[in-house]
Amino acid sequence: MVRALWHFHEQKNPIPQRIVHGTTIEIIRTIFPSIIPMFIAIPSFALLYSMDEVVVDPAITIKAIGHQWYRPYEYSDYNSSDEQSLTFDSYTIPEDDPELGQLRLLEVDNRVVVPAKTHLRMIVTPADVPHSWAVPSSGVKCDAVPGRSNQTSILVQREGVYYGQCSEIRGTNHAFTRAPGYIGRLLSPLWLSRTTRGRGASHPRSKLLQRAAGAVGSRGARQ
Amino acid sequence: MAEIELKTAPADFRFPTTNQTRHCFTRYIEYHKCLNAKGEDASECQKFARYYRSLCPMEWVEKWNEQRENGTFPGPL
Repeated sequence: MVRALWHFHEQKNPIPQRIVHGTTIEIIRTIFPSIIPMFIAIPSFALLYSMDEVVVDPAITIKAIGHQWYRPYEYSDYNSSDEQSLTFDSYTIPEDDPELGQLRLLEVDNRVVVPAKTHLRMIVTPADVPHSWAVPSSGVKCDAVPGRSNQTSILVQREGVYYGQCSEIRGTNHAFTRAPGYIGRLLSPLWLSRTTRGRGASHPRSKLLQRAAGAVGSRGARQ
Repeated sequence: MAEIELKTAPADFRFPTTNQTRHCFTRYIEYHKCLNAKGEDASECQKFARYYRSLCPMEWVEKWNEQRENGTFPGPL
C-alpha cells in the first residue's frame, strides 16, 4: 500500500509507473496460501474423527429403532434371554388429543426414561427407511440407516424433559400427526444411586425393570 | 431408596467409531463360538450374551437365531 501511495503521489511522482508484473511472486503468493490449509486440515481431520470415538464406558445402552412412523425403544441390558427386553412403542400424541399444557406434535405417549448424570449409549437403527434420532437440547443427532447400527453417546446434566424429532424425511407422516417425538425424562430417585447391592437384596435387574416398566406404564398408551 | 448397579456392554477398542453393526455381530458370534467350545451351560459365555443383547436390535437377533436354526447363518460359528 505504501508502495502504491508513492507511485501515485502526484507531486513526488507525476507520471505514475506502469504497474509491473512479477510472475514469480504471483505464483508463490498463490500456492503458499493454499498449502497453509493443508497443514490446518491434518490435525483438524484427526480431531473430527476422534470426536466420534467413545472414550468413556457407558453405564446403560438404549436402543431406538426407527419405524414409519413411531419409535420402539429397547432396554436390553438386563435380559437373561433373547426375548426379555423391556420394549415399548413411542407414538406422538395426535394433534387433537393433547392435554392442556402439552406441546403439540412433540409429546409422546411413552417417554424414554434415562438416568441423569450418567453416560448413555444410544444405538440407533431403523426397521424400514432411513431415520434420524435427534434431541437438540442434549446436543445429539444420530442418523439411522437401514442395515447399520449407529451409536451415539449422551450425558444428560440435568433432570427434566427433553424433546426431539426425527431429522430425516421418511414419508408422508414424517412431520404430521403420527410422527414420533423422542423424549428423555430423567428420574432422579430411580437412577442416580449406582452402588452395588448388599447380600440378600433382590436382583437389581428385576427391580430396575419393574420400576422402569412402572414409570413407562403409568403414561398409558394413547392411540 | 434401593441401590442399583448399572452395567452394559463396554466400549470396545476394536470398534471405536459410530458404526457398531460389526460390534453387535461380533459379540453374537463370540457368544455362539463360546457355547460351541464350552457347552450350553457355560457361565463364562453369559458375558457375551449380555453384550450382544445390549447392542443388537432384537429384530436382528431373532433373524439370526432363525438363520442358525435353518443352517443359513452367514457368520463363522
